[in-house]
Amino acid sequence: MSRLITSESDTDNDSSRSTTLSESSQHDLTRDVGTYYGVVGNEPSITMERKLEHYTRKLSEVGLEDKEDSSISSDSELLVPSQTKMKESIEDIQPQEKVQIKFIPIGSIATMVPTVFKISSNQPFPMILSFLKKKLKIQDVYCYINNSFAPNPQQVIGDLWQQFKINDELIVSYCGTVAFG
Amino acid sequence: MDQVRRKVWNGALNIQIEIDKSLIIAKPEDKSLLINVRIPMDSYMSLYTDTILNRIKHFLRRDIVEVITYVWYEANDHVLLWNLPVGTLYDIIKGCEKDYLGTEDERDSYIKVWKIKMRYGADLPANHIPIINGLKQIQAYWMHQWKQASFLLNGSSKRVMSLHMNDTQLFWDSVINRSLELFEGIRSKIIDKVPRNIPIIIHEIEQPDRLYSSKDSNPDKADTVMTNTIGNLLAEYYDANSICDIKVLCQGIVVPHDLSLSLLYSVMSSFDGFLHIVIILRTD
Repeated sequence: MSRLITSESDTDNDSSRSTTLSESSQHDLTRDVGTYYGVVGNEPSITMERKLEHYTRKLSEVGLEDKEDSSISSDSELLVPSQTKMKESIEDIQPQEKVQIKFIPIGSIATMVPTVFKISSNQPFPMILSFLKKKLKIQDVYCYINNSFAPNPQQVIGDLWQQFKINDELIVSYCGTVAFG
Repeated sequence: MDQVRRKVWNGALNIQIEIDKSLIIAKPEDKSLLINVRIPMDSYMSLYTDTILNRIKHFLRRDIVEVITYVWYEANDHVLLWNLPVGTLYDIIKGCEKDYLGTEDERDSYIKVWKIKMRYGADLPANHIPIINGLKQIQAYWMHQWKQASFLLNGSSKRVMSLHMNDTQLFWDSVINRSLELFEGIRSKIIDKVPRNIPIIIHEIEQPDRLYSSKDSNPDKADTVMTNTIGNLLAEYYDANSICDIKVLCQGIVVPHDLSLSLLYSVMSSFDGFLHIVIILRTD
């Protein structure tokens, strides 16, 4: 039962603004999940595309569009998990800590430069899909952990890093088509 | 042991599904259309959507192929994610209710029915994976779950990826046709008697799912006694003071905190290779 909750805000206006952005991100991620499991090039995907454009326009209006990548930059955080009674870490992941992701291309797809990025550990995995699509300017991308499996879209990047890291890096291979069925 | 596995595999839920009114032609006096089904706990809800829609096809406003992608399920205002086992969803939603298990007399005297809703709309809920490619898409998702579980169990996904194509298909068919013998035969090719780690997914209502692996076995020593328990797992996520107030559910059963995770995995792991446990924080 995963969900994304926005960060705390100082004012009511800020609060409503953050919620809008969070909801947009969720819809964006839902669309990503669709393409992730081979849902492309048909009517529902077009509907989602329209929605995405609609929300992108909304984001532009409130001037927050560029902040979506802040979870991947080294500075500010956009989305943080809900206040939880669970301890945030198993071993060494602190709340809002960033983890290293190494991107490896499969086939003829463009290479990410640099290959290693730091991403907030509390983000859901589809955030990586959005990030890759934006950086590589491509419509569809398929990602695999350790050249093996595509994770569940509700999984959190920090959990995947914790369980599957190699030399403190989560190896994410990406491809423009299905590579491992 | 085998008996418990069989009971887990054959466990099923009586479910009453209220169909979204926008999906069907109006009924007299605006009555709801209800469908009663019995669905295995160890399977995905979406495997039965087509069957459910076929049962109400005479009431549908549109063809099944037009609506099936825009359908999802809800219970108690929570979206039921199709990519979690049905039994796990039930435990997450109903586990916090006081009469979840009921008394022994109650269990014998009436049939429990879970009331859920089939919703329909173009705006699919967040986190719901749209199903566009029917059973093939569900099968692909399930195989990736098994590869992930295998990575934790064996240190790589090779055992799943190198399964013969026939075995892969038979493995999936065993889920669809509910054949435990066939399922266990292929499952045993993936899981060692002493796995490296035990793949566990921890669920809690309105919280993100957590992936956990129990790492107390030593693959070099086959006789290693695995001592990691539910209590150890809880200690990693919850404050020591609150652990005694936590109820842990697995396959509809309240499990004691001192139970070994390896034992629990061997008898109660799900059909996707993971052990799904549901955390209920007692509030009373």
